[in-house]
Amino acid sequence: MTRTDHRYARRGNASRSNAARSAAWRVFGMEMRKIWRPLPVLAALIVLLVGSFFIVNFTYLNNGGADVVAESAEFGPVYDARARERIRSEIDKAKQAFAADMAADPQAREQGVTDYDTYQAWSERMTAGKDAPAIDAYRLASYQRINALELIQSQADIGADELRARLLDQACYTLHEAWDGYPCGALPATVSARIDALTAQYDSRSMLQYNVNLTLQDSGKWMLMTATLCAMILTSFPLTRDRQLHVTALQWSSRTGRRIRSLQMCAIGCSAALAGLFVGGLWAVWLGVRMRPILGFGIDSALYRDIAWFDGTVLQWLAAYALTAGLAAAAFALLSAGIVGAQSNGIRMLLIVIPIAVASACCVNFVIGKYLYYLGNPLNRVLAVPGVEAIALTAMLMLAVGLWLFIVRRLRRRELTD
Amino acid sequence: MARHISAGGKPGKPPPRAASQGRFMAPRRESGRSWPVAVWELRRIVRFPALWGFLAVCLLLNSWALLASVSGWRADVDYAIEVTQRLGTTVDDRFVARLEAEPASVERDELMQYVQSALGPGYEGWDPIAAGDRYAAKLNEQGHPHLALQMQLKARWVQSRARHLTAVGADDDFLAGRISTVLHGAAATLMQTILLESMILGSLIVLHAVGGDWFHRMTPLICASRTGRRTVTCRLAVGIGCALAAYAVLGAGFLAVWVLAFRIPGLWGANVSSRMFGVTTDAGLQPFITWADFSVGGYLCASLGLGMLFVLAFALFAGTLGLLLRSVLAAFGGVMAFGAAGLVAMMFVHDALAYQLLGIQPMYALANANLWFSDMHMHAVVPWQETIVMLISTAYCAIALVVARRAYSRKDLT
Repeated sequence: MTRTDHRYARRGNASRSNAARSAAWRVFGMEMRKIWRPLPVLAALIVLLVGSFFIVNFTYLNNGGADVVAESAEFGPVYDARARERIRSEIDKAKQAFAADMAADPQAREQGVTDYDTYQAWSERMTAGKDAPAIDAYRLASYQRINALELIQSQADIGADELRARLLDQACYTLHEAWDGYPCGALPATVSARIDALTAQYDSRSMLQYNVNLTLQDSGKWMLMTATLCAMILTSFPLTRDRQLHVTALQWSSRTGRRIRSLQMCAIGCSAALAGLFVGGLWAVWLGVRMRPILGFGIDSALYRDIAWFDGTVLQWLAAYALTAGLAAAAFALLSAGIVGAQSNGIRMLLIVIPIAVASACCVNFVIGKYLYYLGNPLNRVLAVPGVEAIALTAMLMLAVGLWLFIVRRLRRRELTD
Repeated sequence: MARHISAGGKPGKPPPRAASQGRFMAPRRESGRSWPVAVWELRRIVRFPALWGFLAVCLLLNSWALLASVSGWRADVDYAIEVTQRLGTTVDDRFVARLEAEPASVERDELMQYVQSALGPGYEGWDPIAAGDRYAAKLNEQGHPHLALQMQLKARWVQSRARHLTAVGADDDFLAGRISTVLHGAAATLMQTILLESMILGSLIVLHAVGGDWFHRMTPLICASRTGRRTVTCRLAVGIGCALAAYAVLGAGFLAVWVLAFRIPGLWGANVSSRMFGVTTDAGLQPFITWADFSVGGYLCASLGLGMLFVLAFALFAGTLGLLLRSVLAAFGGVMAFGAAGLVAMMFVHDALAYQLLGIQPMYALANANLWFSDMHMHAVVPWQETIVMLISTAYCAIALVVARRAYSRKDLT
């Protein structure tokens, strides 16, 4: 063979490879179109709509009319000496307002209550049954303000050693259900290291209200579940539909067609991840708009006791939740589509998909999504490492990919006589 | 031809027979033809392995859920069995005195505390009129005085029921002691689970029966003849029957596990409105006053009966959508969307009038499964409301199916 022949052969190989690549891309695009058809998209949107009711219901940013975000942002992003000083001055102001309220109340004057301290003393006497319950201070804005600020002080204004002791208690309770001084044994090194790190950054704790963290955890869990179910619904149909339409024979008549399973795997994975990211992104944007004043605040709050595995701002956590939704959606959808495969009809497919979807929803609700990226997540009892939820989801994704590769390999080896 | 098709399965005047089609179109022994179709359809459904797999998974899950939900209360169940064997099943002064004389134990103390803190004999400590007034005040706050009046009227009916129950001594039944509420909660939750499972399974069975010809590309063949089109009625009937049978299997499984797990003497025959079992509402602790005298066994059976109506309503609705839509997946999506919308309305609508109006659909019963046949507190304004709602729902689903069946018969090439 001459040099020219080699050159032509190379050119031929290259053009064949380019043609195969472009055919693969075209088939991938077609598979994507098969997934994003109106009926599955409509079904996924209905699931999203139903899920959004739960997401909204598990959002606690309006706590009995109080704006939790505004309360979190009131004293700045960090609970430092300046914030402490501001809280003290606000308590003084509230006490002055309370004294003015008492001065205007004839019952209070009659009982000799002039300010907050005398009210406290009167309140103790009343509890002991020595005075008549004449003063109704609970409805006063000044009284509520003092109570709220003193609660912040009592929870946040503790020393670094006290903080460390509380975090250790919390870790003992979370991992070993040991509380109230009950010996809990040795904590995993990762947990101890995290507690050390949190204690070291004692002065950079934020003042996010309890409800902010709770909103992130609870509505985030429902968002993860919604994203997973949307992705599963979207990606369950194409293989069964192919079989129903007798497309398989056509697919196997060409080289590109025989590689269809790999391309279908990629299309299902990409579509599921996109659906998950879409739902997660929608949730993050919606919550981000509502939490705008505190987006830059650190998640490690002086008012919340559960231990977060990671630092970072509220915005970063919203983004992390959205990315996790993409990962969860891809993992569960690929696994589900791999198990279901191409059924002979839609009813058979649904009878298999529905139990898998229920199992997936339970897995997200009770295991993966519960206290996501916090020590409270149940997976930490098995493996207490940062981000164990993401590790579990990645392992699940790998398992799903392995299942699909097995399916591809099995199909490639099939013969007419099989 | 069109006139014949519109007859919707009724034997009408036969069309003029063409020479070439005479052998196929002759209406010979038409009444007898539906039976083989039904047998074949039944065989097709029964031989569908995925259905059995789904049913088996549901049965296993339900049994596990019922046992797991009370696993933490096993000691109390055992103690309730001991107590009823030794002290009887009527909680009166003699029972309390004998319980006090029992050997001291944590379970004894807790049961004693429960008996003393529960409502007294004759539902002492409970005023149904005051509770009704409280509900009425809430309804007035929402701007629904007519509902408030109805609520007060209902409170009077509840009062007369309570007097009757006291008169027959039903309020003193022991039930399961302090775990009566736990058992009732477990049963109600499992009832909801069974209803959801049966709703899904029943809809799929009906759609499998109606849409089977679509899967097998038999639709043109079936629709080409009058007899073929008529088979849809038979297939619908078999599908709905199988859906109800699947529910019956799940219900029987639930009852069997219940009977085996909670063999407390006297429990099965005790009145469910005993003062040992209370429900906490906005108006405080309320007894579970039912509109008829129900023993625990009777209550469970009646609940399963009402559940049958629930499954029937969804099976009828699935049949309707199966006939109207060309895709079984779209039809199933429609059934699920109907159910989800109803459930969301029941969970998130807070206005009382909107709740009552949106409640005229099967999911009202599912959402309130723990209060069936009782006065249902704020959730109902008339007695037997869940039963009435289910009957109405079943009726409109049946009418929808009849209309869809007629529309199916009227379908034409154009």
